[in-house]
Parts: sequence; structure tokens; C-alpha cells
Amino acid sequence: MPVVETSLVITNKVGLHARPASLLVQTAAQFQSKIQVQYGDKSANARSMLGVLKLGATAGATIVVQAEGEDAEQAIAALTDLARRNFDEEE
Amino acid sequence: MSKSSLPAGSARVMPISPGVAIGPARIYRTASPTLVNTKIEPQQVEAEQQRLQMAIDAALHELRELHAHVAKTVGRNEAAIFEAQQLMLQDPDLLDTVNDAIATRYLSAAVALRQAAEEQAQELEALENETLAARGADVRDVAERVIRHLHADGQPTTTRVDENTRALVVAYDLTPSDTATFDPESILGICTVVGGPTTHAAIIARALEIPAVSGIEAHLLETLRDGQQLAIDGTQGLLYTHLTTLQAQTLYAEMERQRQERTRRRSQQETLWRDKPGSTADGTRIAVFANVGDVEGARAAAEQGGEGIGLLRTEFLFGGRAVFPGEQEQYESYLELFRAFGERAALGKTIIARTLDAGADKPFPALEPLIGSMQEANPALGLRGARIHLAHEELLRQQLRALLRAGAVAGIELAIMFPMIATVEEVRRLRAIFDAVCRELEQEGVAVSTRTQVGIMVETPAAALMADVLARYVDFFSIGANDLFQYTMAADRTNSRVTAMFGTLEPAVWRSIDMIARAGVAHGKLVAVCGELAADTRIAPLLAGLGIKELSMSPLAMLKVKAALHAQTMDYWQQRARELLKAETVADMLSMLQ
Repeated sequence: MPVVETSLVITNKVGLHARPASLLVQTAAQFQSKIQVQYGDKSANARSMLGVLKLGATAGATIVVQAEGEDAEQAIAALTDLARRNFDEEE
Repeated sequence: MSKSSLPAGSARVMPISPGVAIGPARIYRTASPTLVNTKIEPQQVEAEQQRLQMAIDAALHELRELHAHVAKTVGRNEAAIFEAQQLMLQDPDLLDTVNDAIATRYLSAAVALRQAAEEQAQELEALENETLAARGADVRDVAERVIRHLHADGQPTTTRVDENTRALVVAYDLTPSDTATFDPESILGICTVVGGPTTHAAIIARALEIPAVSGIEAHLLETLRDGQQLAIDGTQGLLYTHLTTLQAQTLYAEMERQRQERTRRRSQQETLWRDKPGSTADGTRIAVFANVGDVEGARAAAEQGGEGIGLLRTEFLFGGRAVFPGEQEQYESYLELFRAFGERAALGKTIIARTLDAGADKPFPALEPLIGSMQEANPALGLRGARIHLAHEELLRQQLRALLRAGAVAGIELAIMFPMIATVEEVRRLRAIFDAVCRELEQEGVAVSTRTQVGIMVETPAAALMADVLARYVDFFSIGANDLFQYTMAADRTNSRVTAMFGTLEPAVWRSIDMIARAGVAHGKLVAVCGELAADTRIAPLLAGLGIKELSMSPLAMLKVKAALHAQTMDYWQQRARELLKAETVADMLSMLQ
């Protein structure tokens, strides 16, 4: 099983709050791969809305995303793209 | 401000949403149901887990509805919380914990869920970031929503705010679900015991411009009486529980002044669009027309800046009548309506008259003596619209004569549209009748405009599938979005047991509209949409993106749709409209419409 990992910086204004977290969870759910998100010493299943919120990742935080599965590559690409788009926040 | 300088009878509270409000208090009491059955028998585990899943599905359905409702009435950003709440209810970790508690500790679903949600809420509330900590309330909110369904009745155990009396709501706390159901017109102000400026209730209050304060004393919930006079100042953070007559007069005057100011500001935005035709940010013209059903509506259509009437429901003349009106009476009624619009309209004089769309959910007692009983086992699929025209040509001829005669003298540009088309033969026959009526009138010396356009409603899947052929036989299409939805989804739109199962927009319907628009564009024929979709500010611009050139809606929706169209360029709307075509589910569509 391919494992792909990347670091993403949360650049939007308020961090991983409800709306960006929703987008992250929805994006992760489109893939078969098992995806984990780490921030500091906390780790969450990327499909778990509550887990992602409880990471407490605020603006400027660096999170590590790891995907394991056949479509790991695509999953990481999609999540990277989401973070680069600033989670589609208008600012 | 020191305490001594506070106005008499007032207390300092937290300002949440600016403005002054004064009026009777409405105490809003929410109580979580006390759970009686906390344990289950080991053999009930599977059934209890199924019951939980059904309750969750029902709650998810409500949240989707709430999301759509708030997005429409307040704004997309304010609605986003209901999407986050849906994801909380689908959280695999939470569901595992709850199912595990049911299976190993034999807890009832409600107790297991409430415990698991409470744990999650407390963990969230321990976070330093205030915005994230505030989501704890959302976890409890969704859990209670599910628990209401587990208790079968699905009714919130709340004293509802009386919607008809304008009042100040006094509550311990307001969840997003509470505020979403408020009618902004009936709520003068909001006072809560808890809740800071970043809660969703606060955000919604500000978006709706309802004054609000929080941090009021908890005992007020017990000591205040319903109907007792109360005032708040949401700008300065003041709560008045004992008002002198003079104070009350001053505050009423201030509230009224602020209300007028809001109305004036809103109407300024509106007048901006009243005198302008619809267009996107890059100047691409999209005509904004009105749906009209009587003379009053025709007047409103012109006054609200309608560029034309995109759907004249001629049924107004026939509904509720005991005797079917003859040609002369029809002529006089059409003329009055055409003039009501034509004399006032500044942006265009087109009126698209739909010939009588009788049948289905529109009963016409006056028709029965002429065409026989309209009692059918399946009226939506029965003798209706153009099918009646073709079965009883004389009625259509009479109506066409009246319409064309009125159009010739009213100073408007008349177009004729036939409803409920399914085949090319129907269109050929209807056009032949139309041509014959025109010739007949010319021989009688009536100056029928040679430019009178003839179009059809595209509202059956058959017409949608044949659109590229039908386009050769007509001058324009008008998509009847409501019926197209009903026939495409095979879901009776008057049956609430099925309507709730579908979204406002379904991927199948969107694809169908795309197909019809493409057929029109390919043949250089105008494609319009009339129906509720065209009045939805999220969807209307995307219809333009599919190639729809005219949107027809309730006169009251025209100004906001013009403003929505102008928010982005045509390129942007095209791109978004195409993205929407990739949606697999209604949930995909909703998230794309955010």
C-alpha cells in the first residue's frame, strides 16, 4: 500500500474551524485511503469532523497529513490543493 | 462608563448585535427531554442501533433543509454551521463510541449518544481557541436533535415563540437550530444568559439586523413574565427591565428611527436595480422577467423593474368561474392586464402569455361542461395543458383570438407559449392552429404583429429529450422548472411525503436543464426558465451560466436576482454551472452552491 505524507500550513485567517474543517473532511471522504492528520502531539482521522476540530489547529499551524492506500497520491494532492486555496475563504 | 452613569432601571450586559429594541418579553424555555429508558436488553442491541441510525438519518435530513433555508434567508456563510453539524453526526469516531456503548454497556441509543456528545463537547470547550471551543454547543445541539427523533415524536420540547406577536426573545441560550427557525419580522430583539459575540446565534442576529445582548441574569428567566415590557440596547450593551413612560417613549422612537433607516438603506440598494436591466459583472445581459397571474401582479412586475412578463398565467381569468368566459370578455381582461404592464414598464414590453394550463393541480369547474369531468385517477399525467387544446381546438382558437386582438392594440410585444408539450406532433398542430387564427384575424382587419413569437414550455422529460428537434419548430423555450422537477423525479410536488425526500435542485434536473439550454443555443433560440429555481439567488446566476437568457420569477424576487447576477462575471457563472453538472448527489450540489 503506498503511503504519502506532506506538511501543510494553515494560512486562512481563523485556522481549522467549522467551515475549513468541513471541507477537509469532505475532501478526505472522497478517497479510499486511510488519512490521518497530525498537529503537534494530536492526531485525528481525517474523516472525523470532531477529531479534526479537536486538533485545535489555528492560523499559521503546520499540520502533517498522511494517506495510506491505492489513491494516497491523489488524496494528498487534493488536500494540498484545498490548503493552497485557503479553504476557499474569501479574504 | 461607570455604573453610576447607567440609565435608571437598566443593567450592563454584553452587546451582541447593534440597535435598540423595546416590546413585550417572550420567555423561550428549552428543556432536554429527560431520558426514562436508559438501559436495553442484550437481545435489543441490533434493533437499538438501527433505531439510532434512523434517527440520525432523520436529523441529517432536517439539517440539510435548515442549511438550505438559512442559506436562502440569511446567507451562505451563516448556513455553513449546519453543514458542519451534518459532518459531526457522520463522524465515524463518535458513531463507533455510541454503537459500542449500546452493544457492550446496553445503554439506550439516546443515553449513549448524549454521553458521547457531552464528552466531545467538553473536549472541544477545553480548546484555547474561542471559535473552536464554541463548537461544543453544536455537538450538543445535534445530539439533542437526534434524541428528539429517538423519542419518536420529533418535536422539540420547547415553548415556541408566538410567531405573530412582535416580541423580545429571552432565553438561556439559543442554538443555531433555534435561531434558524425564527421569523426575523416577528423578533424585535434577543437577550440570552450565555453566548458571546462569536456564537452562531450572534452572527445570525447581526446578519438579520436584530438587536441582541447576552450576559443577562439567569434569574430573569424565572422572574420575568411573558408579555412584560422589556428593552435592550445592543449597541451599548444595556438591558432595561423597569422602564419609565418617558424612557419607553424615547426608546420606541429610537427603534422606529432605526427601522426606517434600515428600510431606507435597503430600498436604496433596490432602486439601484429597479431601473436597470439584469446583467453579469462583465455586462452580459440576462433578462429578468416576472411571473404574473393577475392585473395587480402585472402592475407590480412593471414597478419592480421587470423587463417583461415571462409567464402570464392566463388561468386567472378562468379559475373559480362557474361559466367559461367568451372571446370578448377574455379580450377585455387581457387588454386591461397588458395595459397595466405596458403603461408602466420602462425596461421592456414583452409579455409571454401561456395558453390555459388547465388540469392536474389546477381545477377549473367552468371547463367541465365543455370538456367533461376532470376527475382523473392520475391528473398530473392526464388531460392537461396542450392536451386539452388539441382535444378541444375551439377553446384554444377562442383564447388565441382574444390574446392576439388585445396584443394588437395594447402597445406591448405579445408572445404565445403552449404548456405541457411532449411531442413534435403537438407543436406542429398547435402552430398550424395559431397560423390559421392569425390569417383569420388578418382577414377581419386585425393588425396582428407578424413578429409574434411562438414558444413552448419544456416541462416533461419527453420535451427535454427532444429539445434539439423541438427547437426547429418554435421561437423559444421556457423551462417550467417546477413541473420539470416533478416529472423528472416522478415525485408529486403537492405530496409532502415525497417532496421532502428531494432537494430544491437534483442533479438529474440540472442535467436536463443543461440539455435544453444547449439545444436552444445550438439553434439560436432563446431559452428561459420560469419557476422557483429562477428566484433562488444561488441558482439563478448558474442558470445564466448554462446559457439561459431570460429568468422569470415572482416580481418581488427580481431585484435580488439582478443583484446576485451582477456579483460575478459570465465566465465565472459558466464555470460554476459546469462544475454543478459533475454533482452526483443533491448533497454535492448543496456543497457546491455554498
